[in-house]
Amino acid sequence: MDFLFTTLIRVLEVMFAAGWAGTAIVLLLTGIEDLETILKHDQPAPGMETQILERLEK
Amino acid sequence: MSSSASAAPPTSNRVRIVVASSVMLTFISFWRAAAIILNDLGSSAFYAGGIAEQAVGKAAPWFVLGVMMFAFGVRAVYVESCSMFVRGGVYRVVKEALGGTMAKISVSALMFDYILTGPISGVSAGQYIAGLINELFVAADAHGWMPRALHTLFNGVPQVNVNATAALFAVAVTLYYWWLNRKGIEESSEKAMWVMQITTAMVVLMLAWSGLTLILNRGAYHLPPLPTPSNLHFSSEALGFLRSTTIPGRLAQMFGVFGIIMAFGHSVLAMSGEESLAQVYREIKHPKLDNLKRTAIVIGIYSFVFTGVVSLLAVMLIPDAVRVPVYKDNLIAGLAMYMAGPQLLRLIFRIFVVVVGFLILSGAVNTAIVGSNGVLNRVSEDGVLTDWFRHPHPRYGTSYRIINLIVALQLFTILASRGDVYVLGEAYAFGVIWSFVFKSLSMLVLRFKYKGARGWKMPPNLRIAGVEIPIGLASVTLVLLSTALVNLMTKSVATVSGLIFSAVFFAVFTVSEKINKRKYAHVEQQMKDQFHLMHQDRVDRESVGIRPGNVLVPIRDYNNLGHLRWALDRVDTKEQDVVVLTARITRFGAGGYDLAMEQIFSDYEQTLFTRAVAIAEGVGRHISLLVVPATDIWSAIAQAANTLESSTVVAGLSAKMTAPEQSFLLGRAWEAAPEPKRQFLFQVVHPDGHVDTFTIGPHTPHLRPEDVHLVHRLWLDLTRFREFKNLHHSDILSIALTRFARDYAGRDRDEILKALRRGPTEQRFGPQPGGAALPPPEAPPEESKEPPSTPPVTGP
Repeated sequence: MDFLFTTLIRVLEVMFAAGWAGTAIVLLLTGIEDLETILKHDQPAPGMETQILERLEK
Repeated sequence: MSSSASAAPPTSNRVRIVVASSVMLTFISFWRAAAIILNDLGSSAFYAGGIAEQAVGKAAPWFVLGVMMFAFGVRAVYVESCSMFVRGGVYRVVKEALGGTMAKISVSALMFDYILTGPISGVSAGQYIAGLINELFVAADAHGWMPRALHTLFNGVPQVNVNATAALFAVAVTLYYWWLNRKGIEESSEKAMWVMQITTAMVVLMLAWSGLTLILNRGAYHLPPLPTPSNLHFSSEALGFLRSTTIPGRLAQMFGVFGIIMAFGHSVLAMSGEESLAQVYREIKHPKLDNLKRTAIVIGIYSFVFTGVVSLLAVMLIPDAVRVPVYKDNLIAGLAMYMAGPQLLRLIFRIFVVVVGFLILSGAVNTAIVGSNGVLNRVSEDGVLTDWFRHPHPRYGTSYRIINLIVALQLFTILASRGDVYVLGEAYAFGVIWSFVFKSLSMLVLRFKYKGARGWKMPPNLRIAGVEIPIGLASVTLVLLSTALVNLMTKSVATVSGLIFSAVFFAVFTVSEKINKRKYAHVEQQMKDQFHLMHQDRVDRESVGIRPGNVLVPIRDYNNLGHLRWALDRVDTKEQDVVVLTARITRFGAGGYDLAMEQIFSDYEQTLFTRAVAIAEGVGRHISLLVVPATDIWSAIAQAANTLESSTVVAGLSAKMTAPEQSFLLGRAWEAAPEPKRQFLFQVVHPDGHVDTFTIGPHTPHLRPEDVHLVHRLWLDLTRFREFKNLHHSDILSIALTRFARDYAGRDRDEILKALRRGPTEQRFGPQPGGAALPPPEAPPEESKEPPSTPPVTGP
């Protein structure tokens, strides 16, 4: 019983450690992407440019 | 997507119903979206740090910071799911990936999370208030302001029982929101923004003041012990089931990574509220995905600073002797009391903290009711809960039976916890972690099951022999799953209560589904005999098959269709079409699930339309029927009236508001609706048959006879001059309005506002009909001609 329990704990430890290692890479990559998202300028919604031009022409 | 369920050909005796699947939304900026989510997510800052420290010891803030860091990864899972499903809540995603049974289990866990959000937030707010009352008693006593009789009565300084007061407060707040939700309160992102602005002011002040305190007392404060196994000191409760095994003696040796998982699991409730991200996605404006990412960044940084850094500062600034014994349940209030500066200033800041805590935590109580109601409504529509639950309130039209059930469960939870935040927090983590596990596991499965395009994929993804390995997604899932499994062992309260609760809900869902299947087989046949459903992605005039200038009649309650009868009595449908509209409201917090046509047009809509058709047939008129999903009834009406080019909207009088209030809300929705827009009349039919008419959209105001008379008198006076012989009445109004705008924009603004506040025109400017404000017309100058007796016809 103890063996099973210890094995379970070891498996969970490996899962957690491996998961965190991968998550660290996720955080690094998404962090860089987030920076790009913050600095990016929005394009107008499709069709909006046409609407604005039409309104200006009027 | 269009016409998937329109397989049955229309037959002459069946009524055609257009069922739109695109929700008529009012889109919001990413700032507003972030404010809505933070109202839920930010509330955990008030209790997460204290609960974590009680469980794992002084190193707890590092784990809270770790959880807040990990939350960025969880958010990435949500961003990917939203890029696949616009309405990608847990239930929808799990059902898609793992099937109906797992979806029911996941929604049971989610319900546990939602339902517990109310009690934990209410009790936590109560703890802050009770703590403040006791602190004020102590301060008053120290200054000798406490009456001797009170002193004698309490054998010292009067102190309220913190847990009992907190429980009492939580019960009162829950009952208040039960009352409001039964009536159907309006939710607004403006209110969420306002609460977050005040909260931000508090956070900024707290960080600045804490920084100053640390600088002034350099060397006196130290960081908490590092999160290493040797620094973990678990309480007996924090060991859960492990304390009764032979393991505790060996736990110290096993503390390695396992201890860290345990501590992480005890801090995980700090990231509750992430599910809200999936729910607000539909309402985020273009460009949706970029704005969703921005929302995720804002809430990520904000919650990291608020929940994480503030927990760290609390452990650094509040002395060990009082932090857990006195301030464990109101840690931020304790932080306010241990800043550098005079006691009065610190006490004032503490009052501010309690006010902010009250606002954000009581808001979370409401979010819990709204969210639970939304989730149960959706599963009810999916046939997983019988329609009995969704039956509308006879007066307010709300799903009051579901609201009653949720609030009853919440009240039971508050009383069972006896106002103990720690117990509630322990249980709460079950719903939080398991709903995340189901979500990320489902997204992982969908990577292999669904090969289609996605708006965004969580990085990194490795391609080996043509197979894509989703390393990022798998990593987050591994952390969540390992933490959830360890929590099962170490959080006994959570495991027992969570499993019982989820099992009961799962059983109710399964039995209800079986009952519904039997019932729907009959109803479906009946529906097919009577109605022909036309599935359309969007609503337009052509799809409904109507002419411009039609009359739109929104209906909701099949017992209140008097306005439909009123409209049909007056409209000749050969000349003008009548469209009967019902909006299926999918509120914020509804779980963000995609609605299948059968869900949008459910049992209830069938009864509603059957009665509408009966009324139309009774007066021998033809009507067109339309069902639209919407987040707000007024937006749905305004947008439908615009797209259908309706000339009039006829509604019944609301049980909750007056006709002018209804008109105001519709007007506001019209202003927010996208272009192109057109004006229409809005008629509100009272139960006694009396009708109020309003014009929606910019229109010529209804001028009172005395105002027309005044304009005319001015015109008479001015046209005595030859140079003004071609003057129109509209020119006078134009100049008057231009001058008004100039004055309003200039220094006379206050004067104008004061005059407007005084009330009707007579009170503001004195009697008008006699033209007292205008000098009597003088004799025309010699060169002028006699003005015409009637005003010239002018343009609008």
